[in-house]
Amino acid sequence: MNVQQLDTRVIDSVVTEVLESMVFLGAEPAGDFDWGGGALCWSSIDLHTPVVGEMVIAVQEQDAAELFELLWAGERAPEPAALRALLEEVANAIAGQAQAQVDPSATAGLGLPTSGSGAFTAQGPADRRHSYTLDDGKVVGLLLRELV
Amino acid sequence: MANVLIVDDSPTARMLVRRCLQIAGYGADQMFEAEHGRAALDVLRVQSIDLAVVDLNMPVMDGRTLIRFMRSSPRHNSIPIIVVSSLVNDTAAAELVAMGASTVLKKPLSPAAMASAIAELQGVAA
Repeated sequence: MNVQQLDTRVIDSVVTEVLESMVFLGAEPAGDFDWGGGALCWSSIDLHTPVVGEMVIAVQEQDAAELFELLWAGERAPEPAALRALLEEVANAIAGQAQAQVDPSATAGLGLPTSGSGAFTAQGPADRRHSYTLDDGKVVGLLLRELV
Repeated sequence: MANVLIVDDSPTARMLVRRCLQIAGYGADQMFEAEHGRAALDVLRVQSIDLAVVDLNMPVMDGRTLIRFMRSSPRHNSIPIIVVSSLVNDTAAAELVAMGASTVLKKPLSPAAMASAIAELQGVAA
Protein backbone atom coordinates (compact mmCIF):
# COMPACT_ATOMS: atom_id res chain seq x y z
CA MET A 1 0.00 0.00 0.00
CA ASN A 2 1.30 3.40 -0.97
CA VAL A 3 1.70 5.97 1.80
CA GLN A 4 -0.77 8.21 -0.01
CA GLN A 5 -3.48 5.64 0.71
CA LEU A 6 -2.94 5.69 4.48
CA ASP A 7 -6.23 6.71 6.07
CA THR A 8 -6.07 10.09 7.80
CA ARG A 9 -8.31 8.76 10.60
CA VAL A 10 -5.70 6.10 11.40
CA ILE A 11 -2.92 8.69 11.50
CA ASP A 12 -4.93 11.10 13.64
CA SER A 13 -5.94 8.49 16.20
CA VAL A 14 -2.44 7.07 16.50
CA VAL A 15 -0.75 10.46 16.78
CA THR A 16 -3.11 11.68 19.48
CA GLU A 17 -2.77 8.44 21.47
CA VAL A 18 1.02 8.37 21.26
CA LEU A 19 1.50 12.03 22.15
CA GLU A 20 -0.86 11.78 25.09
CA SER A 21 0.91 8.69 26.39
CA MET A 22 4.44 9.99 25.90
CA VAL A 23 4.30 13.68 26.74
CA PHE A 24 1.05 13.71 28.73
CA LEU A 25 -0.65 16.33 26.53
CA GLY A 26 -3.82 16.03 24.51
CA ALA A 27 -3.47 16.65 20.77
CA GLU A 28 -5.93 17.74 18.13
CA PRO A 29 -5.48 17.43 14.37
CA ALA A 30 -5.44 21.18 13.84
CA GLY A 31 -3.06 24.07 13.40
CA ASP A 32 -0.52 24.89 10.76
CA PHE A 33 3.01 23.60 11.11
CA ASP A 34 5.64 25.70 9.34
CA TRP A 35 8.04 23.21 7.77
CA GLY A 36 10.17 25.93 6.29
CA GLY A 37 10.41 28.28 9.22
CA GLY A 38 12.85 28.28 12.08
CA ALA A 39 15.02 25.60 13.58
CA LEU A 40 13.30 22.26 13.70
CA CYS A 41 13.98 19.02 15.49
CA TRP A 42 12.77 16.15 13.33
CA SER A 43 12.83 12.39 12.99
CA SER A 44 12.25 10.32 9.89
CA ILE A 45 11.36 6.65 9.62
CA ASP A 46 10.84 4.42 6.59
CA LEU A 47 7.61 2.47 6.36
CA HIS A 48 8.18 -1.03 4.96
CA THR A 49 5.00 -3.11 5.36
CA PRO A 50 2.07 -2.94 4.81
CA VAL A 51 2.38 0.77 4.00
CA VAL A 52 5.41 1.76 1.94
CA GLY A 53 6.88 5.25 2.22
CA GLU A 54 8.42 7.59 4.74
CA MET A 55 7.07 9.43 7.76
CA VAL A 56 8.67 12.53 9.25
CA ILE A 57 7.67 14.13 12.53
CA ALA A 58 8.93 17.56 13.54
CA VAL A 59 8.63 20.25 16.18
CA GLN A 60 10.35 23.56 16.78
CA GLU A 61 13.61 22.97 18.67
CA GLN A 62 12.44 25.02 21.64
CA ASP A 63 9.23 23.01 21.79
CA ALA A 64 11.25 19.78 21.64
CA ALA A 65 13.24 20.92 24.66
CA GLU A 66 10.05 21.66 26.61
CA LEU A 67 8.50 18.31 25.69
CA PHE A 68 11.72 16.65 26.76
CA GLU A 69 11.48 18.33 30.17
CA LEU A 70 7.90 17.08 30.54
CA LEU A 71 8.98 13.52 29.88
CA TRP A 72 12.28 13.35 31.74
CA ALA A 73 11.37 15.69 34.62
CA GLY A 74 14.93 16.90 35.04
CA GLU A 75 16.43 13.42 35.10
CA ARG A 76 18.40 14.10 31.94
CA ALA A 77 19.74 17.28 30.32
CA PRO A 78 17.95 18.38 27.14
CA GLU A 79 21.00 18.04 24.91
CA PRO A 80 20.49 18.04 21.14
CA ALA A 81 21.16 14.31 20.81
CA ALA A 82 18.69 13.56 23.59
CA LEU A 83 16.01 15.72 21.95
CA ARG A 84 16.49 13.84 18.70
CA ALA A 85 16.28 10.51 20.55
CA LEU A 86 12.91 11.57 21.95
CA LEU A 87 11.65 12.50 18.49
CA GLU A 88 12.92 9.15 17.15
CA GLU A 89 10.94 7.28 19.78
CA VAL A 90 7.80 9.30 19.03
CA ALA A 91 8.23 8.64 15.30
CA ASN A 92 8.83 4.95 15.92
CA ALA A 93 5.72 4.64 18.09
CA ILE A 94 3.47 6.51 15.65
CA ALA A 95 4.73 4.72 12.55
CA GLY A 96 4.62 1.30 14.19
CA GLN A 97 1.11 1.69 15.53
CA ALA A 98 -0.13 3.03 12.21
CA GLN A 99 1.42 0.09 10.36
CA ALA A 100 -0.03 -2.39 12.84
CA GLN A 101 -3.52 -0.89 12.51
CA VAL A 102 -3.66 -0.67 8.73
CA ASP A 103 -3.76 -4.44 8.35
CA PRO A 104 -4.09 -6.37 11.62
CA SER A 105 -3.43 -9.62 9.79
CA ALA A 106 -0.09 -8.46 8.38
CA THR A 107 3.30 -8.43 10.05
CA ALA A 108 4.16 -4.76 10.19
CA GLY A 109 7.61 -3.53 9.24
CA LEU A 110 9.59 -0.35 9.78
CA GLY A 111 13.09 0.93 9.23
CA LEU A 112 15.13 2.42 12.03
CA PRO A 113 14.41 6.07 12.80
CA THR A 114 16.90 8.78 11.93
CA SER A 115 16.81 12.35 13.16
CA GLY A 116 18.24 15.78 12.72
CA SER A 117 17.89 19.39 13.65
CA GLY A 118 17.79 22.65 11.77
CA ALA A 119 15.93 23.27 8.56
CA PHE A 120 13.92 20.51 6.94
CA THR A 121 13.69 21.28 3.26
CA ALA A 122 13.00 18.06 1.39
CA GLN A 123 9.40 18.58 0.36
CA GLY A 124 7.63 17.66 -2.81
CA PRO A 125 4.19 18.42 -4.19
CA ALA A 126 2.97 14.92 -3.28
CA ASP A 127 3.95 15.20 0.37
CA ARG A 128 1.04 14.84 2.77
CA ARG A 129 1.33 17.33 5.60
CA HIS A 130 -0.54 17.03 8.89
CA SER A 131 -0.43 19.26 11.96
CA TYR A 132 -1.41 18.58 15.55
CA THR A 133 -1.88 21.18 18.24
CA LEU A 134 -1.09 20.12 21.78
CA ASP A 135 -3.00 21.31 24.85
CA ASP A 136 -0.28 23.85 25.60
CA GLY A 137 -0.31 25.31 22.08
CA LYS A 138 2.76 23.61 20.64
CA VAL A 139 2.32 22.38 17.09
CA VAL A 140 3.65 19.05 15.86
CA GLY A 141 4.13 18.48 12.15
CA LEU A 142 3.82 15.12 10.45
CA LEU A 143 4.77 14.52 6.84
CA LEU A 144 4.14 11.42 4.74
CA ARG A 145 5.84 10.91 1.41
CA GLU A 146 6.71 8.31 -1.15
CA LEU A 147 10.24 6.98 -1.22
CA VAL A 148 10.34 6.44 -4.96
CA MET B 1 12.58 -8.75 43.99
CA ALA B 2 14.34 -9.36 40.75
CA ASN B 3 16.91 -8.37 38.20
CA VAL B 4 15.37 -6.87 35.09
CA LEU B 5 17.00 -6.51 31.68
CA ILE B 6 15.59 -3.75 29.46
CA VAL B 7 16.57 -4.07 25.80
CA ASP B 8 15.80 -1.14 23.50
CA ASP B 9 17.93 1.03 21.24
CA SER B 10 16.09 4.15 22.37
CA PRO B 11 17.20 5.68 25.69
CA THR B 12 13.79 7.33 25.89
CA ALA B 13 12.04 3.99 25.57
CA ARG B 14 14.32 2.40 28.16
CA MET B 15 13.52 5.19 30.60
CA LEU B 16 9.78 4.77 29.99
CA VAL B 17 10.03 1.03 30.69
CA ARG B 18 12.02 1.73 33.85
CA ARG B 19 9.42 4.21 35.08
CA CYS B 20 6.54 1.91 34.24
CA LEU B 21 8.17 -0.92 36.17
CA GLN B 22 8.68 1.37 39.15
CA ILE B 23 5.13 2.80 39.03
CA ALA B 24 3.74 -0.70 38.59
CA GLY B 25 5.40 -1.57 41.87
CA TYR B 26 7.78 -4.08 40.43
CA GLY B 27 10.61 -4.03 42.95
CA ALA B 28 13.69 -4.74 40.94
CA ASP B 29 17.00 -5.30 42.70
CA GLN B 30 18.75 -4.02 39.63
CA MET B 31 17.75 -2.87 36.19
CA PHE B 32 20.23 -3.63 33.45
CA GLU B 33 19.98 -1.95 30.07
CA ALA B 34 21.12 -2.98 26.62
CA GLU B 35 20.71 -1.09 23.37
CA HIS B 36 20.30 -4.15 21.14
CA GLY B 37 20.04 -7.91 21.29
CA ARG B 38 23.76 -8.55 21.04
CA ALA B 39 24.47 -6.30 24.02
CA ALA B 40 21.67 -8.07 25.90
CA LEU B 41 23.41 -11.42 25.36
CA ASP B 42 26.54 -9.90 26.92
CA VAL B 43 24.51 -8.97 30.01
CA LEU B 44 22.83 -12.39 30.16
CA ARG B 45 26.24 -14.06 30.09
CA VAL B 46 27.34 -12.44 33.36
CA GLN B 47 24.14 -11.58 35.23
CA SER B 48 21.27 -13.58 36.62
CA ILE B 49 18.17 -12.06 35.02
CA ASP B 50 14.61 -12.70 36.21
CA LEU B 51 12.68 -10.68 33.61
CA ALA B 52 13.56 -9.32 30.17
CA VAL B 53 11.67 -6.45 28.56
CA VAL B 54 12.52 -6.48 24.87
CA ASP B 55 11.90 -4.17 21.91
CA LEU B 56 11.70 -5.64 18.40
CA ASN B 57 13.07 -3.07 16.00
CA MET B 58 16.74 -2.61 16.94
CA PRO B 59 20.05 -2.42 15.09
CA VAL B 60 22.79 -5.09 15.30
CA MET B 61 20.44 -7.79 16.68
CA ASP B 62 16.68 -7.33 16.69
CA GLY B 63 14.25 -8.51 19.34
CA ARG B 64 13.03 -11.58 17.45
CA THR B 65 16.58 -12.89 17.13
CA LEU B 66 17.25 -12.22 20.80
CA ILE B 67 14.13 -14.17 21.76
CA ARG B 68 15.26 -17.11 19.60
CA PHE B 69 18.70 -17.06 21.24
CA MET B 70 17.21 -16.95 24.73
CA ARG B 71 14.69 -19.71 24.08
CA SER B 72 17.39 -21.94 22.62
CA SER B 73 19.61 -21.54 25.68
CA PRO B 74 19.14 -24.00 28.57
CA ARG B 75 20.27 -21.29 30.97
CA HIS B 76 17.94 -18.56 29.72
CA ASN B 77 14.95 -20.34 28.21
CA SER B 78 12.78 -19.93 31.31
CA ILE B 79 13.28 -16.17 31.73
CA PRO B 80 9.94 -14.38 31.17
CA ILE B 81 10.14 -12.05 28.18
CA ILE B 82 7.83 -9.06 27.79
CA VAL B 83 7.98 -7.70 24.27
CA VAL B 84 7.26 -3.98 24.03
CA SER B 85 6.90 -2.70 20.50
CA SER B 86 4.98 -0.27 18.37
CA LEU B 87 4.75 -2.97 15.69
CA VAL B 88 2.11 -4.98 17.47
CA ASN B 89 -1.17 -6.27 16.13
CA ASP B 90 -2.95 -9.56 16.74
CA THR B 91 -0.93 -11.36 14.09
CA ALA B 92 2.40 -10.13 15.37
CA ALA B 93 1.48 -10.87 18.99
CA ALA B 94 0.52 -14.45 18.16
CA GLU B 95 3.73 -14.93 16.18
CA LEU B 96 5.85 -13.55 19.02
CA VAL B 97 4.19 -15.71 21.65
CA ALA B 98 4.71 -18.76 19.43
CA MET B 99 8.34 -17.76 19.16
CA GLY B 100 8.75 -17.61 22.93
CA ALA B 101 7.62 -14.21 24.16
CA SER B 102 5.69 -14.47 27.42
CA THR B 103 3.49 -11.49 26.62
CA VAL B 104 3.39 -8.61 24.17
CA LEU B 105 2.69 -4.96 24.94
CA LYS B 106 2.16 -2.00 22.64
CA LYS B 107 4.27 1.17 22.64
CA PRO B 108 3.95 3.67 24.12
CA LEU B 109 3.88 1.66 27.29
CA SER B 110 1.62 2.49 30.24
CA PRO B 111 2.21 1.55 33.90
CA ALA B 112 -1.21 -0.16 33.96
CA ALA B 113 -0.33 -2.37 31.02
CA MET B 114 3.01 -3.26 32.60
CA ALA B 115 1.40 -4.04 35.97
CA SER B 116 -1.20 -6.25 34.30
CA ALA B 117 1.44 -8.11 32.30
CA ILE B 118 3.57 -8.75 35.37
CA ALA B 119 0.57 -9.89 37.41
CA GLU B 120 -0.27 -12.32 34.63
CA LEU B 121 3.30 -13.62 34.54
CA GLN B 122 3.39 -14.04 38.30
CA GLY B 123 0.09 -15.88 38.14
CA VAL B 124 1.51 -18.23 35.56
CA ALA B 125 4.65 -18.72 37.64
CA ALA B 126 2.71 -19.34 40.88
